[in-house]
Amino acid sequence: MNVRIRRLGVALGVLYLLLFAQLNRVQFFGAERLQDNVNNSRGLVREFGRERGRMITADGVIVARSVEVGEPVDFVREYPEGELYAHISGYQSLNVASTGLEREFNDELAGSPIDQQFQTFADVFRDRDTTATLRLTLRHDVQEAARSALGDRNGSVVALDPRTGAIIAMWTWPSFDPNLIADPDGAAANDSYETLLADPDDPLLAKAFREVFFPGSTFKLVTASAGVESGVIGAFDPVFDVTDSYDPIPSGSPISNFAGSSCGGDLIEILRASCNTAFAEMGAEWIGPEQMVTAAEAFGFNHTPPIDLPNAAGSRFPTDFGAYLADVEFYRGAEDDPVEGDPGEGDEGEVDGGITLANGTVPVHENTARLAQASIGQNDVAATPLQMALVAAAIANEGLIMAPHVVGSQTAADGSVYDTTNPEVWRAAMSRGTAQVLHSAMINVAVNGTARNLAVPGLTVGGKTGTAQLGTDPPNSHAWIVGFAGPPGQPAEIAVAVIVEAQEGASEQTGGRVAAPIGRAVIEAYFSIN
Amino acid sequence: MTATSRRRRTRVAPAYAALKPRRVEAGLVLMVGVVIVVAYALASFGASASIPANLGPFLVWMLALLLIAHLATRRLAPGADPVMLPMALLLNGLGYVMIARLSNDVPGGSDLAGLQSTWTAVGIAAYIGTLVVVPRVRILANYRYLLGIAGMALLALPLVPTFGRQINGARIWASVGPINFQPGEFAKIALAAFFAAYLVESRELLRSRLELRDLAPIGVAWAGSLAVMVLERDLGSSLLFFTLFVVVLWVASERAMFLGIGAVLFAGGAVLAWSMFTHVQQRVDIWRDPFASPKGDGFQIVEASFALADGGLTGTGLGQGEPDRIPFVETDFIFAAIGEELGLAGSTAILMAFLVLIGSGLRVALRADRPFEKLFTVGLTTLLGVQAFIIMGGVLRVVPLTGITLPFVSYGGSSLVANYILLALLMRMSHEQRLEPVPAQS
Amino acid sequence: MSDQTLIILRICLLALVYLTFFRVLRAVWVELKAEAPRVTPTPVAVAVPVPAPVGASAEVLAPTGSASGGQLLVVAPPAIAGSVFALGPETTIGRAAGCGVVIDDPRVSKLHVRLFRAADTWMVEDLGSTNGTILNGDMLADAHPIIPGNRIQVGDVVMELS
Repeated sequence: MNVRIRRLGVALGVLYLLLFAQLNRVQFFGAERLQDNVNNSRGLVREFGRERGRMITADGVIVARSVEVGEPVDFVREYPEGELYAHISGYQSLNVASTGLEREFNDELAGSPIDQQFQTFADVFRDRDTTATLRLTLRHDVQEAARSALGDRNGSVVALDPRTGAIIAMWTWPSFDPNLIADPDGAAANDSYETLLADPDDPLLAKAFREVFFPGSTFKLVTASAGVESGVIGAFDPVFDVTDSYDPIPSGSPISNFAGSSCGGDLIEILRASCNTAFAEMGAEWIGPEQMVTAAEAFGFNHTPPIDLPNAAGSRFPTDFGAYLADVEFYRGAEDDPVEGDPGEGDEGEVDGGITLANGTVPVHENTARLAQASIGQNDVAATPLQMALVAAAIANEGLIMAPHVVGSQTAADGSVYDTTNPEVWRAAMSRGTAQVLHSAMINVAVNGTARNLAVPGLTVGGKTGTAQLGTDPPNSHAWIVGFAGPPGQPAEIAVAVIVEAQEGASEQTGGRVAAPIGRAVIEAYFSIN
Repeated sequence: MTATSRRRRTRVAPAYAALKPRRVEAGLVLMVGVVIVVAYALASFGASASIPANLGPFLVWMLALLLIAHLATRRLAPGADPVMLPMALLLNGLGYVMIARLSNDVPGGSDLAGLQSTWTAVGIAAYIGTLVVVPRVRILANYRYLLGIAGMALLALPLVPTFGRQINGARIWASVGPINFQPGEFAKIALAAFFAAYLVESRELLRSRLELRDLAPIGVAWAGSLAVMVLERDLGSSLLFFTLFVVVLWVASERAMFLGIGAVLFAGGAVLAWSMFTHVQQRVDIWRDPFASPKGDGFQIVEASFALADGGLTGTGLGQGEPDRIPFVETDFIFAAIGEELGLAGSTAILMAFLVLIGSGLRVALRADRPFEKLFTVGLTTLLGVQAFIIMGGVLRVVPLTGITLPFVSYGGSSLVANYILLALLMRMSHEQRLEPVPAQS
Repeated sequence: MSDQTLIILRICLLALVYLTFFRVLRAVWVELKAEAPRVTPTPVAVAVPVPAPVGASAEVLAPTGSASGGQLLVVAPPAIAGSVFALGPETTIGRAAGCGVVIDDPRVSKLHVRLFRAADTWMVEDLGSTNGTILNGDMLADAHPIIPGNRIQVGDVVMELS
């Protein structure tokens, strides 16, 4: 019998080993999968009812806080400013996946990182509030100015400090009240969420950094940078023909100026007048695809900005222009038309502002017409408002784009600092010299050109307007302004980008008239003018 | 011979051999006591962040129970295995802490902790009582028919109209006067004794030949198990009784054929049950895919999986999880609660405790001299090990879920008292095998 | 009570649980090792003395040991009671395989005790065993004469000289 008893022991041992294996599967190897199961609301319920850290603007306004209610959960998340910061703070909800800072800084707000739990050895024995307060870089007065200036038009406003990348204001209308989705009554929260989700204007989407638009003429800043960087365009040379239409090479539909007007001239002039024909030619026949792509990507196109918010969208610039056909030569001097198909050696050009410019050749591709359109911010170019603010910021900050961020620091309840966001360079968009040329050109646009509505007396302001035609019938277009402002003789302290999304029949609106006043209101709010 | 200056030695007491296991046991019981008290304190902190007011009385009460159990063993079965009692107390203690912790959260559960501590006391009293009443396990063989009849009567008691109570679909409760209990828990011990005694008589026959009529007993056991399942709708007990019988029969006869016959009969019964009862089909469907209806039929298993997953390696902490989301967490699903709040480390500890109990039980069986003692011990150990496996496997979805208690851990007086009696019988048997100290003759 | 403290206490609790298991397994191990003698002490009832210091090799290998005439009768434990070990001129008792009487019990030292003839009497001498030898209920300190009817206890095994 003893043999059988031993076998029984082995059999029972095997059964228990089976249990142990399954325990490991459920509790360790497969735990994450189970925790992520759609039916598993445990993590949510647990997180939801806990006290979390606050979010506070740079000027001390509370954006998000936990309020103790006791029933049905201990704490409820409250967003006192409602819609104003909805796209920044996001929400923490029982039924809906959290968004915004609530999501990006979930652990820090909940107080779970080890370094927050154990600041000193004594913390082992203390019951301490370990949640982090997020100190935002946003300023409440500027954010409110952005909201009231944009009003009920659909659009976005982004304002940031070019020197650090700190975002000063970021506003998108339509917005929503995050308190509705944070409702501890799951059914009510769900209803609100479904309603918002069904809204065709998509108020849940933080378009300022999550949606891309045709940048229109504001993109000419990137084209100009590409030209100056590649050494073929100077501030005053070449001088483009005054014309009302540009026929792309090798073929394509002609590109005209706004309202059929004629324009041309040197870089400063064509930026001032936002001259489509000149910039289309510049991109297609002077700069060429390679340099255009390099410049656009140097500004951050085709990359995702490293902002401390989830799901940021990357801006796009086309990289494929079809098969190479031939080189085209460009000549300095307005009278000389470029000779096609005759690649010759570049002649010594004029000296302009210390930079020696040369004649040369650019390759022509099947779809160089596409490049011509892209050079004026049409066709496949698409940018977030945040990206366009970074373009202006790069010009204002000697060519460097700082990593954009909304959280300046994270502090403990006692005020001690858990973490500080140090300014970091994200991209070197252009050389300092190029930035200086464009800086002057943008100031000129704000003084004499299409961005006059952005100018603020007593400040050095630069700008560039944009009107991105959407090619719809009836015609629609987005009105843009990008710009920067600072005290005279000092580096710019704020860079802005504003887009007012077109409404039907608003084709005649231009960035200068519609968007620039909003940018100006934001700048004025920042410098506390009025 | 001249006296050399050897090391002086302490005098070896004659009872040395017998008391050594008790010294080991004393140390283990002490450790178990510390574990339980720490666990209780932790559970209280986790829930209310303050030292519980009743920590003092609890500590005294719990340690007193442990001490009483140990001292009684010291006196009544000094030679018995030193690890079985501490393991049972550990399981009982961790289960109690979990039940006390759940009593705050489970709806209508405020009495659970008090009742369970009372039942623990009753269980330990039953343990001591059994040690007193049963001086030699083999005397039970003399009462085999009495025990057999008693076992079957207990099993059938819930079916008797005036006594039986149907609770939560299963008719496994009986009320005698003010006391509600599950007679099945006690029946299993009586039946284990009966099976052992019966098979001792017939095992020689079973070994030598095999005629159709020799299959009668296994058929009767099968029919009985089916009856339990059909009439009382108690799948777990049914499976447990049948397994008990087949295992003891196999060990007694030393013929693997009976395992085969058992397996075939089991399969037949399972198919029969599956085709006859929707609740059996439902159990199997849940087992195959609980996520098919995560908020409906599969809810319990799905929530248990989530609870275990939340536990991870070291658990959410006692009092800090949400085991109360699982229906019947204090009885059938207490293993999931422990897994959630103490993690893989805690649930594995439960497995290990049962393995130690099984190992000790089988060692007792191996050492037993008489066939009855061997078979009875095998039976008791199988009951303990298989019952724990059935419910833990059910919770973990290794086997279809059949509601049954986790011995020593689950809430429930009948289960606790019956298992303490079972433990006492194993201890008694173990003690008998140890050498009695021989008084030296001068 | 902070979360951090609870985490640490939880780990401590689990460590304590596993420490308990460690102790349990150790106890089981010790017991398993101790179990062996209960099943096997009987087999070689023949005294096979260790080679004596004085070279009396021929007779010590004699199985019966009738030359010396003494024998040890096991009286306890019951399982092996009644076994008889014949004694040579010098018989060692211990756990080691080379001993005249082999007792496989961890409480018995490898070379535990010896019985030898001195003049006309049997003498018993503990060989520095760990747990000692009991002669007639008293701990044996030095070599001591032993007469038929006296009992020595080594571990659990009690033997009577006859």
